[in-house]
Amino acid sequence: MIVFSNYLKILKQYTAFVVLYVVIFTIFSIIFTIYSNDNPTFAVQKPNIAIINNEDTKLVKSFLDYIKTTSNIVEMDSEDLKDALFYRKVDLILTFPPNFTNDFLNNDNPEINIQRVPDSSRSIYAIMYLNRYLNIASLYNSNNVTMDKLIEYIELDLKLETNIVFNNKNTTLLSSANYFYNFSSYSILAISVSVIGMMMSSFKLKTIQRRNMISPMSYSKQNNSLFLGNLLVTMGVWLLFTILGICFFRQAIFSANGVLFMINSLVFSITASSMGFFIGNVINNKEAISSIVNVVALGSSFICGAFVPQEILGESVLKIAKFFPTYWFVKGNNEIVILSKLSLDKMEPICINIIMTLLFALLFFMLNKIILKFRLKEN
Amino acid sequence: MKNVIEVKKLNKKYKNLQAVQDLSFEVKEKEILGLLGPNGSGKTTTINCLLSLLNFDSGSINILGKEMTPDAYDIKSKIGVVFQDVAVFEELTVIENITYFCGLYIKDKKIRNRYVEEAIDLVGLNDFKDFYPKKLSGGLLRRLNIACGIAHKPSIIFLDEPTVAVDPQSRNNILEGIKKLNKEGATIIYTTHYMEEVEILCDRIIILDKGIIIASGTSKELKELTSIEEKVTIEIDDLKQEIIEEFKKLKNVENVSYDSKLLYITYKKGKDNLINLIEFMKTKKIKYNKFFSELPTLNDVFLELTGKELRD
Ligand SMILES: Nc1ncnc2c1ncn2[C@@H]1O[C@H](COP(=O)(O)OP(=O)(O)OP(=O)(O)O)[C@@H](O)[C@H]1O
Ligand SMILES: [Mg+2]
Repeated sequence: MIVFSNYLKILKQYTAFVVLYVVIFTIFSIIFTIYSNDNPTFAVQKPNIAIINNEDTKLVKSFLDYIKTTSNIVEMDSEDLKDALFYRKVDLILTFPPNFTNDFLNNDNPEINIQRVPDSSRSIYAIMYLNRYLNIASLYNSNNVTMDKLIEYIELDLKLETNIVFNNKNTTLLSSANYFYNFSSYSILAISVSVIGMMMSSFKLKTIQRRNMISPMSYSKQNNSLFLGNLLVTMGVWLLFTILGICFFRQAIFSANGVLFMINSLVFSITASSMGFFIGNVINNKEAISSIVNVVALGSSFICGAFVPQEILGESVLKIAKFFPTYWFVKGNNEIVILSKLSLDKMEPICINIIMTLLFALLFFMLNKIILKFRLKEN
Repeated sequence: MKNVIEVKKLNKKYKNLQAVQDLSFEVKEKEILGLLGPNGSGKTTTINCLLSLLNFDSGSINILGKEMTPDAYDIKSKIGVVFQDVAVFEELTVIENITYFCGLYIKDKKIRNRYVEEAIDLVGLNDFKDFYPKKLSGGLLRRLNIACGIAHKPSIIFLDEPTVAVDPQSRNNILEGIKKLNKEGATIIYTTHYMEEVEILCDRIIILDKGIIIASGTSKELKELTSIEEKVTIEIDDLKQEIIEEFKKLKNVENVSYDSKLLYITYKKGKDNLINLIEFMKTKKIKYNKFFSELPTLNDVFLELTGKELRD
């Protein structure tokens, strides 16, 4: 207990530091959020969509009409399509499954295959719009209506909202939340790594460590206390940003997407704290830690797309970014935002990104073990 | 008196440097044992082996009748260590630091707080309780380091050069404190390369060089090891080489040197050395300003045993 309470005592000294970070972050987030709410610039640019479809039912037609209102439908040979995506002549390729209409009416959840330009905000918005139509369609479909009636309902529903289509509140809010969470990765990383790094460098200082080792308190007991302390920091940081997220985007957060944002940022917080643990163990000099944090947190956040969208960054930059957990966290957020109720089963890319982030935590954890072993052998 | 520590044939090698070789000694209950040796003689290595902080190659270490191991927590609870390097949390005040390290041993809050106050008293940091280590002078910092090591009232205390780079005032305070702890019943192992300290403090002294015990005993016993009776220094303004040669011929004189008006004479064991010297100078009508004589020091013992000075 004494080790843990000592951890808290020392932790208290970093309160001002954390508060400062949070205040700065909050100000930036607010500015950012207001800015992105007022300027749905990405939304106005119509995405180019190519469609592969063999059906000519009323439902498909209605869906295509809907797509036309928000996007340019590009006619193209299926041969050229792959290249078109690569050269960004189209943002999306939609492939309707053979029996789409029938399956849809029978509630068989047919899956429209979507190929898209990775990390393009235009394609992201397009998918969000498509999901909107399908969400409404499936909503009315569950009441066992005829196709004509169904289309009528959908079109009525859409008409009621046409004005909002370009400025759909939830969509905008969700994409703001996306920015918020991407942006938060910098603060989470900077706070966790510096605080935990500093704490560890205090406790693992060779001279102090020796004093702890000769005491009658076992090494594992002491380490457990430190682990508990670090866990507390991690959860604290995460909670802080979750609360901020809830304050800013109440409606958007209490949804499947919101929960996923929270899970993703929790995983990222854990990774950040394991990184702090590692850095604190390797480096016992506090000045060095804070400069490393600045370089690593700021640099990685920049190249990983926490500040600017990933699609703006060059390919070679993103290649390097893959070596940082922030990249996978941000990518995860970008996937989460396009998830809709209808395609909840398309969790795979999100899971992959979360797992990648988690792998980094594991990596740092292992590195820690190796270093500690190495240190003990030194004697 | 019984032995609280028994070390037998301790060997410790760093890569290809034999830091400690066949070290055997014991520490008796309630004594102050001095480990005296120059830099790099293996004092810290010995202590770290004793504390199970270092793996050693061969030998055995028993403390309080039991083998010392890294998880001998019952032994550890009775030991206090003051390390050579100051080991305190920079983020904690004086009192918080002592409380933490004491807390690793003493669970009961009330007792702990009392012990902490007593430790602060002992090292005289009452006026600095709420200071952060950065604000303390070197001497005060060392006192804090000591308080952190002994607050839990251990029955065996290791002190590794606690007075290095300390001002005279703090040094006296530290030495007094150690004496007090010893009076209260603690057994003390004290390492240093200051021979004056071991002379005034220690009941028994072990002299180490290159990881080997070259002599041990009380300060008096050690001094008897040397063939020197005394050393005389005389300030003489002008001295001819032939007269210096005559000094050398005096009875029991071992060595004579003259440098910047100071004549140094070393006497072997024997009687009436000083009387003979003064007689000689009277008859030769040698005028001198100052005259003083010293008994041999542990440095002379060390010099004679190893051929080098204790301190470089
Ligand atoms: N970790 C280490 N690795 C290699 N050699 C070491 C290590 N620690 C000490 N030594 C060497 O072992 C010898 C004994 O060192 P030790 O620190 O025990 O001496 P000491 O008597 O405490 O000296 P000092 O008065 O300077 O503190 C020295 O030659 C030192 O250079
Ligand atoms: Mg030493």
